[in-house]
Amino acid sequence: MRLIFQQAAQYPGRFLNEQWSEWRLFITRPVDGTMLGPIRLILGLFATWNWIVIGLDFTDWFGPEGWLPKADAIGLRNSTIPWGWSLWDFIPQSLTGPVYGIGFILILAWTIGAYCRVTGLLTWIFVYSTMRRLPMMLFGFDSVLSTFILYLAVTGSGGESISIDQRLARRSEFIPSTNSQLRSSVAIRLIQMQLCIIYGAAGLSKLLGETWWNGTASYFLAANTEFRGVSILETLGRNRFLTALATHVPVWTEIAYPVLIWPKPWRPLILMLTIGLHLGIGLTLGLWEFSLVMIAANLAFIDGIWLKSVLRRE
Amino acid sequence: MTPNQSTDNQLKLNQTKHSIVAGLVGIHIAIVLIGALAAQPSSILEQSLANKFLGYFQIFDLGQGYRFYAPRPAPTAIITAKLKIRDADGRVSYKTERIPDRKTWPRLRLQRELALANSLWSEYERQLNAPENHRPSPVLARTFARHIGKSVPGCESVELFVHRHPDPSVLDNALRQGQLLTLKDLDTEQFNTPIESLGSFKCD
Repeated sequence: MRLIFQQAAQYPGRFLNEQWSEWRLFITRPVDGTMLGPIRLILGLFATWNWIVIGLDFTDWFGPEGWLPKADAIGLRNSTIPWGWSLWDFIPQSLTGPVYGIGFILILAWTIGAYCRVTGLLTWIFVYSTMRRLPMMLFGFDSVLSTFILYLAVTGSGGESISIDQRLARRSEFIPSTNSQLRSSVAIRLIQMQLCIIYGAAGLSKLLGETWWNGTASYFLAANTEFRGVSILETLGRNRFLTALATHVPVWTEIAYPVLIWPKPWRPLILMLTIGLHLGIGLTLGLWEFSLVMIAANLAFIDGIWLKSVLRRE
Repeated sequence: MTPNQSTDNQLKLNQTKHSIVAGLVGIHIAIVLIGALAAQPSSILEQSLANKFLGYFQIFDLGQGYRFYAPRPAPTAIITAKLKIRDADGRVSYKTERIPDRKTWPRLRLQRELALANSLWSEYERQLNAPENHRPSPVLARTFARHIGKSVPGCESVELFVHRHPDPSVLDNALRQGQLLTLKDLDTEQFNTPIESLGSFKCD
Protein backbone atom coordinates (compact mmCIF):
# COMPACT_ATOMS: atom_id res chain seq x y z
CA MET A 1 0.00 0.00 0.00
CA ARG A 2 2.82 2.35 0.94
CA LEU A 3 4.40 1.69 -2.43
CA ILE A 4 1.22 2.72 -4.25
CA PHE A 5 1.10 6.03 -2.37
CA GLN A 6 4.81 6.50 -3.01
CA GLN A 7 4.35 5.92 -6.75
CA ALA A 8 1.30 8.20 -6.83
CA ALA A 9 3.23 10.93 -5.03
CA GLN A 10 6.12 10.60 -7.46
CA TYR A 11 3.86 10.67 -10.54
CA PRO A 12 3.47 14.46 -10.99
CA GLY A 13 7.21 15.07 -10.76
CA ARG A 14 8.01 12.18 -13.10
CA PHE A 15 5.30 13.25 -15.53
CA LEU A 16 6.53 16.84 -15.66
CA ASN A 17 10.14 15.72 -16.06
CA GLU A 18 9.29 13.41 -18.94
CA GLN A 19 7.10 16.00 -20.65
CA TRP A 20 9.77 18.66 -20.31
CA SER A 21 12.41 16.35 -21.84
CA GLU A 22 10.04 15.49 -24.70
CA TRP A 23 9.22 19.16 -25.30
CA ARG A 24 12.90 20.17 -25.23
CA LEU A 25 13.72 17.45 -27.74
CA PHE A 26 10.76 18.42 -29.94
CA ILE A 27 11.82 22.06 -30.11
CA THR A 28 15.59 21.65 -30.40
CA ARG A 29 16.07 18.40 -32.34
CA PRO A 30 17.67 19.31 -35.69
CA VAL A 31 15.02 19.61 -38.40
CA ASP A 32 15.93 20.14 -42.03
CA GLY A 33 15.39 23.81 -42.80
CA THR A 34 15.17 23.55 -46.59
CA MET A 35 11.47 24.43 -46.63
CA LEU A 36 12.11 27.72 -44.87
CA GLY A 37 13.53 29.02 -48.17
CA PRO A 38 10.31 28.60 -50.19
CA ILE A 39 8.28 29.82 -47.21
CA ARG A 40 10.38 33.01 -47.06
CA LEU A 41 10.20 33.45 -50.82
CA ILE A 42 6.39 33.20 -50.93
CA LEU A 43 5.85 35.36 -47.83
CA GLY A 44 8.31 37.88 -49.30
CA LEU A 45 6.51 37.95 -52.64
CA PHE A 46 3.21 38.66 -50.90
CA ALA A 47 4.78 41.29 -48.63
CA THR A 48 6.19 42.93 -51.78
CA TRP A 49 2.86 42.69 -53.61
CA ASN A 50 1.07 44.16 -50.59
CA TRP A 51 3.61 46.98 -50.48
CA ILE A 52 3.05 47.73 -54.17
CA VAL A 53 -0.75 47.71 -53.77
CA ILE A 54 -0.52 50.07 -50.78
CA GLY A 55 1.73 52.26 -52.93
CA LEU A 56 -0.98 52.51 -55.63
CA ASP A 57 -3.05 54.56 -53.17
CA PHE A 58 -0.13 56.02 -51.27
CA THR A 59 -1.65 59.43 -50.49
CA ASP A 60 -4.99 57.84 -49.55
CA TRP A 61 -3.19 55.79 -46.91
CA PHE A 62 -0.31 57.98 -45.79
CA GLY A 63 -1.32 61.48 -46.86
CA PRO A 64 -2.28 64.20 -44.35
CA GLU A 65 -5.83 64.01 -45.72
CA GLY A 66 -5.88 60.24 -46.08
CA TRP A 67 -8.41 57.79 -44.68
CA LEU A 68 -6.85 58.05 -41.23
CA PRO A 69 -4.31 60.86 -40.74
CA LYS A 70 -1.30 60.06 -38.57
CA ALA A 71 -2.44 61.99 -35.47
CA ASP A 72 -5.82 60.23 -35.54
CA ALA A 73 -4.15 56.83 -36.02
CA ILE A 74 -1.91 57.45 -32.99
CA GLY A 75 -4.84 58.68 -30.91
CA LEU A 76 -6.96 55.67 -31.86
CA ARG A 77 -4.09 53.28 -31.08
CA ASN A 78 -3.35 54.87 -27.72
CA SER A 79 -6.96 54.41 -26.70
CA THR A 80 -7.18 50.77 -27.78
CA ILE A 81 -3.69 49.22 -27.96
CA PRO A 82 -1.39 51.38 -25.81
CA TRP A 83 1.57 49.01 -26.26
CA GLY A 84 1.30 49.12 -30.02
CA TRP A 85 3.96 51.03 -31.91
CA SER A 86 4.71 52.07 -35.44
CA LEU A 87 7.80 53.28 -37.19
CA TRP A 88 5.56 55.64 -39.19
CA ASP A 89 4.84 57.65 -36.01
CA PHE A 90 8.37 59.03 -36.15
CA ILE A 91 8.50 59.76 -39.88
CA PRO A 92 7.69 63.35 -40.89
CA GLN A 93 5.15 63.67 -43.68
CA SER A 94 7.80 64.87 -46.14
CA LEU A 95 9.79 61.66 -45.63
CA THR A 96 7.01 59.08 -45.92
CA GLY A 97 7.72 58.60 -49.65
CA PRO A 98 11.47 57.92 -49.24
CA VAL A 99 10.85 55.66 -46.22
CA TYR A 100 8.25 53.75 -48.24
CA GLY A 101 10.93 53.33 -50.92
CA ILE A 102 13.48 52.05 -48.36
CA GLY A 103 10.84 49.64 -47.06
CA PHE A 104 10.28 48.36 -50.60
CA ILE A 105 14.00 47.71 -51.13
CA LEU A 106 14.34 45.92 -47.78
CA ILE A 107 11.29 43.72 -48.36
CA LEU A 108 12.58 42.88 -51.84
CA ALA A 109 16.04 42.06 -50.40
CA TRP A 110 14.48 39.70 -47.87
CA THR A 111 12.32 38.12 -50.57
CA ILE A 112 15.36 37.17 -52.63
CA GLY A 113 17.10 36.00 -49.46
CA ALA A 114 19.80 38.64 -49.12
CA TYR A 115 21.14 39.10 -45.57
CA CYS A 116 18.01 37.47 -44.16
CA ARG A 117 18.98 37.90 -40.52
CA VAL A 118 18.89 41.68 -40.88
CA THR A 119 16.40 42.16 -43.71
CA GLY A 120 13.93 39.71 -42.14
CA LEU A 121 13.73 41.75 -38.96
CA LEU A 122 13.45 45.03 -40.88
CA THR A 123 10.76 43.55 -43.16
CA TRP A 124 8.73 42.58 -40.11
CA ILE A 125 9.20 46.06 -38.61
CA PHE A 126 7.85 47.63 -41.83
CA VAL A 127 4.94 45.18 -42.13
CA TYR A 128 3.99 45.54 -38.47
CA SER A 129 4.39 49.32 -38.46
CA THR A 130 2.14 49.67 -41.49
CA MET A 131 -0.52 47.54 -39.84
CA ARG A 132 -0.42 49.76 -36.75
CA ARG A 133 -0.47 52.91 -38.85
CA LEU A 134 -3.46 51.72 -40.93
CA PRO A 135 -5.57 49.57 -38.58
CA MET A 136 -8.75 50.21 -40.56
CA MET A 137 -7.55 48.39 -43.69
CA LEU A 138 -6.60 45.06 -42.11
CA PHE A 139 -8.01 41.60 -42.66
CA GLY A 140 -6.86 38.01 -42.01
CA PHE A 141 -4.08 38.18 -44.61
CA ASP A 142 -2.23 40.91 -42.69
CA SER A 143 -2.29 39.13 -39.38
CA VAL A 144 -1.03 35.76 -40.72
CA LEU A 145 1.59 37.41 -42.93
CA SER A 146 2.94 39.45 -40.02
CA THR A 147 3.05 36.46 -37.65
CA PHE A 148 4.91 34.15 -40.04
CA ILE A 149 7.39 36.87 -41.00
CA LEU A 150 7.92 37.50 -37.27
CA TYR A 151 8.87 33.85 -36.73
CA LEU A 152 11.42 33.89 -39.54
CA ALA A 153 12.72 37.26 -38.35
CA VAL A 154 13.23 36.45 -34.66
CA THR A 155 14.95 33.17 -35.50
CA GLY A 156 17.04 34.82 -38.21
CA SER A 157 16.06 32.07 -40.61
CA GLY A 158 14.59 31.88 -44.10
CA GLY A 159 17.85 32.01 -46.02
CA GLU A 160 18.41 28.25 -45.82
CA SER A 161 17.52 27.67 -49.48
CA ILE A 162 16.60 29.53 -52.68
CA SER A 163 18.47 32.58 -51.39
CA ILE A 164 21.40 34.88 -51.99
CA ASP A 165 22.59 33.97 -48.46
CA GLN A 166 22.81 30.32 -49.43
CA ARG A 167 24.80 31.14 -52.59
CA LEU A 168 27.20 33.32 -50.63
CA ALA A 169 27.63 30.58 -48.00
CA ARG A 170 28.35 28.00 -50.70
CA ARG A 171 30.93 30.23 -52.33
CA SER A 172 32.76 30.75 -49.05
CA GLU A 173 32.35 27.04 -48.15
CA PHE A 174 30.56 28.07 -44.98
CA ILE A 175 29.58 25.17 -42.70
CA PRO A 176 26.29 25.77 -40.85
CA SER A 177 26.84 26.09 -37.11
CA THR A 178 24.76 24.28 -34.49
CA ASN A 179 23.22 27.68 -33.76
CA SER A 180 21.90 28.10 -37.28
CA GLN A 181 20.51 24.54 -37.17
CA LEU A 182 18.78 25.37 -33.90
CA ARG A 183 17.35 28.57 -35.39
CA SER A 184 15.92 26.67 -38.37
CA SER A 185 14.40 24.01 -36.11
CA VAL A 186 12.78 26.61 -33.86
CA ALA A 187 11.41 28.53 -36.88
CA ILE A 188 9.84 25.36 -38.32
CA ARG A 189 8.32 24.44 -34.94
CA LEU A 190 6.94 27.93 -34.35
CA ILE A 191 5.24 28.01 -37.75
CA GLN A 192 3.88 24.48 -37.27
CA MET A 193 2.43 25.23 -33.83
CA GLN A 194 1.02 28.59 -34.94
CA LEU A 195 -0.81 26.80 -37.78
CA CYS A 196 -2.27 24.33 -35.28
CA ILE A 197 -3.56 27.20 -33.15
CA ILE A 198 -5.01 29.05 -36.17
CA TYR A 199 -6.83 26.02 -37.58
CA GLY A 200 -7.88 24.70 -34.16
CA ALA A 201 -9.37 28.05 -33.14
CA ALA A 202 -10.99 28.56 -36.56
CA GLY A 203 -12.57 25.11 -36.51
CA LEU A 204 -13.72 24.99 -32.90
CA SER A 205 -15.22 28.49 -33.00
CA LYS A 206 -17.39 27.49 -35.97
CA LEU A 207 -19.05 24.90 -33.76
CA LEU A 208 -20.77 27.80 -31.99
CA GLY A 209 -22.84 28.54 -35.09
CA GLU A 210 -25.95 26.71 -36.23
CA THR A 211 -25.16 27.13 -39.94
CA TRP A 212 -21.92 25.16 -39.57
CA TRP A 213 -23.92 22.32 -37.99
CA ASN A 214 -26.91 22.34 -40.34
CA GLY A 215 -24.67 22.47 -43.39
CA THR A 216 -25.74 25.83 -44.84
CA ALA A 217 -22.74 28.05 -43.91
CA SER A 218 -21.10 27.63 -47.32
CA TYR A 219 -24.29 28.98 -48.94
CA PHE A 220 -24.13 32.10 -46.76
CA LEU A 221 -20.51 32.56 -47.78
CA ALA A 222 -21.32 32.09 -51.46
CA ALA A 223 -24.13 34.64 -51.12
CA ASN A 224 -21.65 37.29 -50.03
CA THR A 225 -21.44 38.94 -53.41
CA GLU A 226 -19.02 41.66 -52.29
CA PHE A 227 -16.11 39.20 -52.28
CA ARG A 228 -16.30 38.95 -56.09
CA GLY A 229 -14.91 35.44 -56.34
CA VAL A 230 -16.11 32.77 -58.77
CA SER A 231 -19.78 32.44 -57.83
CA ILE A 232 -20.99 28.99 -56.83
CA LEU A 233 -24.25 30.35 -55.39
CA GLU A 234 -26.57 28.77 -57.96
CA THR A 235 -24.70 25.44 -57.95
CA LEU A 236 -25.00 25.25 -54.16
CA GLY A 237 -28.64 26.40 -54.28
CA ARG A 238 -29.47 23.51 -56.60
CA ASN A 239 -27.56 20.89 -54.65
CA ARG A 240 -28.08 20.85 -50.89
CA PHE A 241 -25.78 17.83 -50.46
CA LEU A 242 -22.94 19.76 -52.07
CA THR A 243 -23.72 22.75 -49.81
CA ALA A 244 -23.51 20.52 -46.76
CA LEU A 245 -20.28 18.91 -47.98
CA ALA A 246 -18.73 22.34 -48.68
CA THR A 247 -19.68 23.33 -45.12
CA HIS A 248 -18.64 20.23 -43.19
CA VAL A 249 -15.33 19.39 -44.88
CA PRO A 250 -13.64 22.73 -44.03
CA VAL A 251 -14.80 22.65 -40.40
CA TRP A 252 -13.67 19.09 -39.76
CA THR A 253 -10.41 19.66 -41.61
CA GLU A 254 -9.70 22.63 -39.35
CA ILE A 255 -10.65 20.75 -36.20
CA ALA A 256 -8.64 17.66 -37.17
CA TYR A 257 -5.59 19.66 -38.24
CA PRO A 258 -3.89 20.25 -34.85
CA VAL A 259 -4.16 16.55 -34.01
CA LEU A 260 -3.78 14.67 -37.29
CA ILE A 261 -1.07 16.80 -38.87
CA TRP A 262 1.53 15.25 -36.53
CA PRO A 263 1.27 11.49 -37.27
CA LYS A 264 3.20 10.91 -40.50
CA PRO A 265 0.61 8.62 -42.20
CA TRP A 266 -2.14 11.26 -41.80
CA ARG A 267 -0.03 14.26 -42.75
CA PRO A 268 -0.35 14.05 -46.58
CA LEU A 269 -4.14 13.71 -46.32
CA ILE A 270 -4.49 16.64 -43.93
CA LEU A 271 -2.16 18.76 -46.06
CA MET A 272 -4.11 17.94 -49.22
CA LEU A 273 -7.42 18.79 -47.53
CA THR A 274 -5.97 22.03 -46.15
CA ILE A 275 -4.53 23.09 -49.49
CA GLY A 276 -7.88 22.24 -51.11
CA LEU A 277 -9.65 24.35 -48.49
CA HIS A 278 -7.44 27.35 -49.22
CA LEU A 279 -7.74 26.99 -52.98
CA GLY A 280 -11.51 26.91 -52.46
CA ILE A 281 -11.36 30.09 -50.36
CA GLY A 282 -9.20 31.77 -52.98
CA LEU A 283 -11.42 30.76 -55.84
CA THR A 284 -14.85 31.46 -54.36
CA LEU A 285 -14.14 34.31 -51.94
CA GLY A 286 -11.28 35.85 -53.90
CA LEU A 287 -9.03 35.82 -50.84
CA TRP A 288 -6.01 34.64 -52.81
CA GLU A 289 -3.39 36.49 -50.79
CA PHE A 290 -4.59 35.01 -47.49
CA SER A 291 -4.96 31.55 -48.99
CA LEU A 292 -1.54 31.41 -50.61
CA VAL A 293 0.21 32.71 -47.48
CA MET A 294 -1.47 29.95 -45.47
CA ILE A 295 -0.46 27.35 -48.07
CA ALA A 296 3.12 28.68 -47.91
CA ALA A 297 3.17 28.32 -44.12
CA ASN A 298 1.92 24.74 -44.48
CA LEU A 299 5.18 23.93 -46.30
CA ALA A 300 6.67 23.80 -42.78
CA PHE A 301 5.09 20.35 -42.50
CA ILE A 302 6.87 19.04 -45.59
CA ASP A 303 10.09 17.21 -44.82
CA GLY A 304 12.91 18.98 -46.67
CA ILE A 305 15.07 15.82 -46.77
CA TRP A 306 12.25 13.84 -48.36
CA LEU A 307 11.58 16.56 -50.93
CA LYS A 308 15.26 16.80 -51.86
CA SER A 309 15.51 13.03 -52.30
CA VAL A 310 12.42 13.01 -54.54
CA LEU A 311 13.76 15.89 -56.64
CA ARG A 312 17.15 14.16 -56.96
CA ARG A 313 15.53 10.94 -58.18
CA GLU A 314 13.80 12.93 -60.91
CA MET B 1 41.64 21.95 -19.26
CA THR B 2 41.74 18.55 -21.00
CA PRO B 3 39.96 18.02 -24.35
CA ASN B 4 37.38 15.87 -22.53
CA GLN B 5 36.61 18.62 -20.02
CA SER B 6 36.27 21.14 -22.83
CA THR B 7 33.78 18.86 -24.67
CA ASP B 8 31.83 18.35 -21.43
CA ASN B 9 31.62 22.10 -20.90
CA GLN B 10 30.48 22.62 -24.49
CA LEU B 11 27.83 19.92 -24.07
CA LYS B 12 26.55 21.49 -20.83
CA LEU B 13 26.44 24.91 -22.48
CA ASN B 14 24.44 23.48 -25.40
CA GLN B 15 22.03 21.76 -23.04
CA THR B 16 21.47 24.98 -21.11
CA LYS B 17 20.94 26.88 -24.37
CA HIS B 18 18.46 24.26 -25.60
CA SER B 19 16.56 24.37 -22.30
CA ILE B 20 16.28 28.17 -22.43
CA VAL B 21 15.11 28.12 -26.07
CA ALA B 22 12.58 25.33 -25.42
CA GLY B 23 11.30 27.20 -22.35
CA LEU B 24 10.89 30.47 -24.24
CA VAL B 25 9.11 28.79 -27.17
CA GLY B 26 6.82 27.00 -24.70
CA ILE B 27 5.90 30.25 -22.96
CA HIS B 28 5.33 32.01 -26.27
CA ILE B 29 3.04 29.31 -27.67
CA ALA B 30 1.10 29.16 -24.39
CA ILE B 31 0.54 32.94 -24.59
CA VAL B 32 -0.62 32.74 -28.24
CA LEU B 33 -3.01 29.95 -27.27
CA ILE B 34 -4.36 32.00 -24.37
CA GLY B 35 -4.96 34.88 -26.79
CA ALA B 36 -6.88 32.63 -29.18
CA LEU B 37 -9.02 31.24 -26.34
CA ALA B 38 -9.81 34.67 -24.91
CA ALA B 39 -11.67 35.94 -28.01
CA GLN B 40 -15.42 36.38 -27.40
CA PRO B 41 -17.24 34.35 -26.25
CA SER B 42 -14.79 33.29 -23.54
CA SER B 43 -14.72 32.65 -19.83
CA ILE B 44 -13.66 35.14 -17.18
CA LEU B 45 -10.63 32.90 -16.53
CA GLU B 46 -9.50 33.01 -20.18
CA GLN B 47 -10.04 36.77 -20.35
CA SER B 48 -8.17 37.51 -17.14
CA LEU B 49 -5.26 35.33 -18.27
CA ALA B 50 -5.13 37.07 -21.67
CA ASN B 51 -5.25 40.49 -19.97
CA LYS B 52 -1.92 39.68 -18.33
CA PHE B 53 -0.28 39.47 -21.75
CA LEU B 54 -1.93 42.41 -23.51
CA GLY B 55 1.41 44.21 -23.82
CA TYR B 56 3.01 41.16 -25.44
CA PHE B 57 0.10 40.78 -27.88
CA GLN B 58 0.23 44.43 -28.84
CA ILE B 59 4.00 44.70 -29.23
CA PHE B 60 4.17 41.72 -31.60
CA ASP B 61 0.65 41.82 -33.07
CA LEU B 62 -0.33 38.48 -31.60
CA GLY B 63 -3.35 37.40 -29.58
CA GLN B 64 -5.82 37.09 -32.45
CA GLY B 65 -8.86 34.84 -31.99
CA TYR B 66 -8.66 33.36 -35.51
CA ARG B 67 -12.45 32.87 -35.42
CA PHE B 68 -12.89 33.19 -39.17
CA TYR B 69 -16.56 33.15 -40.26
CA ALA B 70 -17.64 32.14 -36.76
CA PRO B 71 -20.12 31.64 -35.30
CA ARG B 72 -21.63 32.18 -38.75
CA PRO B 73 -20.51 33.88 -41.96
CA ALA B 74 -21.25 37.55 -41.41
CA PRO B 75 -22.61 39.94 -44.03
CA THR B 76 -20.29 42.61 -45.44
CA ALA B 77 -20.52 46.25 -44.47
CA ILE B 78 -21.05 48.79 -47.25
CA ILE B 79 -20.44 52.52 -46.94
CA THR B 80 -22.49 54.97 -48.96
CA ALA B 81 -21.24 58.54 -49.04
CA LYS B 82 -23.60 61.24 -50.31
CA LEU B 83 -21.65 64.34 -51.29
CA LYS B 84 -23.20 67.77 -51.62
CA ILE B 85 -21.23 69.72 -54.22
CA ARG B 86 -21.48 73.42 -55.01
CA ASP B 87 -19.85 74.50 -58.25
CA ALA B 88 -18.34 77.92 -59.06
CA ASP B 89 -21.74 79.22 -60.23
CA GLY B 90 -23.33 78.26 -56.94
CA ARG B 91 -25.27 75.34 -58.39
CA VAL B 92 -25.75 72.41 -56.03
CA SER B 93 -25.45 68.82 -57.14
CA TYR B 94 -25.18 65.50 -55.34
CA LYS B 95 -22.84 62.61 -55.90
CA THR B 96 -22.92 59.17 -54.32
CA GLU B 97 -19.91 56.96 -53.69
CA ARG B 98 -20.01 53.34 -52.67
CA ILE B 99 -17.25 51.60 -50.70
CA PRO B 100 -16.33 48.92 -51.63
CA ASP B 101 -16.49 49.77 -55.30
CA ARG B 102 -16.98 46.39 -56.97
CA LYS B 103 -14.92 47.48 -59.97
CA THR B 104 -11.80 48.07 -57.87
CA TRP B 105 -8.77 46.22 -59.17
CA PRO B 106 -6.48 44.51 -58.18
CA ARG B 107 -8.44 42.36 -55.81
CA LEU B 108 -6.26 43.18 -52.80
CA ARG B 109 -7.40 46.80 -53.12
CA LEU B 110 -11.01 45.61 -53.06
CA GLN B 111 -10.22 43.65 -49.87
CA ARG B 112 -8.80 46.85 -48.38
CA GLU B 113 -12.03 48.69 -49.24
CA LEU B 114 -14.06 45.88 -47.66
CA ALA B 115 -11.88 46.23 -44.55
CA LEU B 116 -12.51 50.01 -44.48
CA ALA B 117 -16.26 49.43 -44.57
CA ASN B 118 -16.05 46.74 -41.89
CA SER B 119 -13.97 49.01 -39.64
CA LEU B 120 -16.55 51.77 -39.95
CA TRP B 121 -19.35 49.32 -39.18
CA SER B 122 -17.45 48.08 -36.09
CA GLU B 123 -17.02 51.66 -34.88
CA TYR B 124 -20.76 52.25 -35.40
CA GLU B 125 -21.60 49.07 -33.45
CA ARG B 126 -19.23 50.01 -30.60
CA GLN B 127 -20.99 53.35 -30.35
CA LEU B 128 -24.42 51.78 -30.38
CA ASN B 129 -23.45 49.36 -27.62
CA ALA B 130 -21.75 51.94 -25.41
CA PRO B 131 -23.75 53.70 -22.66
CA GLU B 132 -25.04 57.04 -23.92
CA ASN B 133 -22.78 59.16 -21.71
CA HIS B 134 -19.69 57.05 -22.52
CA ARG B 135 -19.94 56.90 -26.31
CA PRO B 136 -16.51 57.10 -27.97
CA SER B 137 -16.22 59.82 -30.61
CA PRO B 138 -16.60 58.48 -34.16
CA VAL B 139 -12.99 58.91 -35.31
CA LEU B 140 -13.27 56.82 -38.47
CA ALA B 141 -16.57 58.34 -39.61
CA ARG B 142 -15.02 61.82 -39.26
CA THR B 143 -11.73 61.04 -41.02
CA PHE B 144 -13.37 58.94 -43.76
CA ALA B 145 -15.87 61.71 -44.51
CA ARG B 146 -13.06 64.27 -44.62
CA HIS B 147 -11.03 62.08 -46.96
CA ILE B 148 -13.95 61.42 -49.30
CA GLY B 149 -14.84 65.13 -49.31
CA LYS B 150 -11.28 66.16 -50.16
CA SER B 151 -11.30 64.03 -53.29
CA VAL B 152 -14.18 66.02 -54.84
CA PRO B 153 -13.66 69.72 -55.67
CA GLY B 154 -16.46 71.95 -54.42
CA CYS B 155 -17.62 69.47 -51.79
CA GLU B 156 -19.73 71.18 -49.15
CA SER B 157 -20.71 68.24 -47.00
CA VAL B 158 -20.52 64.47 -46.86
CA GLU B 159 -23.27 62.36 -45.37
CA LEU B 160 -22.20 58.85 -44.46
CA PHE B 161 -24.43 55.80 -44.40
CA VAL B 162 -23.64 52.21 -43.63
CA HIS B 163 -25.53 48.98 -44.13
CA ARG B 164 -24.75 45.31 -44.52
CA HIS B 165 -25.28 42.82 -47.31
CA PRO B 166 -26.70 40.21 -47.59
CA ASP B 167 -29.15 40.43 -44.70
CA PRO B 168 -28.75 37.04 -42.95
CA SER B 169 -32.39 36.79 -41.83
CA VAL B 170 -33.75 37.46 -45.34
CA LEU B 171 -31.26 35.01 -46.81
CA ASP B 172 -32.15 32.45 -44.17
CA ASN B 173 -35.85 32.77 -45.04
CA ALA B 174 -35.14 32.39 -48.75
CA LEU B 175 -33.09 29.30 -48.03
CA ARG B 176 -35.82 27.76 -45.86
CA GLN B 177 -38.42 28.37 -48.57
CA GLY B 178 -36.18 26.64 -51.09
CA GLN B 179 -35.84 29.75 -53.28
CA LEU B 180 -33.21 29.36 -55.98
CA LEU B 181 -31.36 32.67 -55.77
CA THR B 182 -29.15 34.25 -58.40
CA LEU B 183 -26.52 36.94 -57.92
CA LYS B 184 -28.97 39.42 -59.47
CA ASP B 185 -31.60 38.56 -56.83
CA LEU B 186 -29.08 39.28 -54.09
CA ASP B 187 -28.51 42.77 -55.44
CA THR B 188 -32.14 43.71 -54.87
CA GLU B 189 -33.06 46.06 -52.03
CA GLN B 190 -34.62 43.40 -49.79
CA PHE B 191 -31.26 41.71 -49.23
CA ASN B 192 -29.76 44.86 -47.67
CA THR B 193 -30.02 45.50 -43.95
CA PRO B 194 -31.62 48.85 -43.03
CA ILE B 195 -29.40 51.80 -43.90
CA GLU B 196 -27.97 53.61 -40.86
CA SER B 197 -26.89 57.23 -41.01
CA LEU B 198 -23.56 58.06 -39.40
CA GLY B 199 -24.11 61.78 -39.70
CA SER B 200 -23.30 64.67 -41.99
CA PHE B 201 -19.80 66.12 -42.02
CA LYS B 202 -18.74 69.50 -43.39
CA CYS B 203 -15.99 69.48 -46.01
CA ASP B 204 -13.02 71.65 -45.01
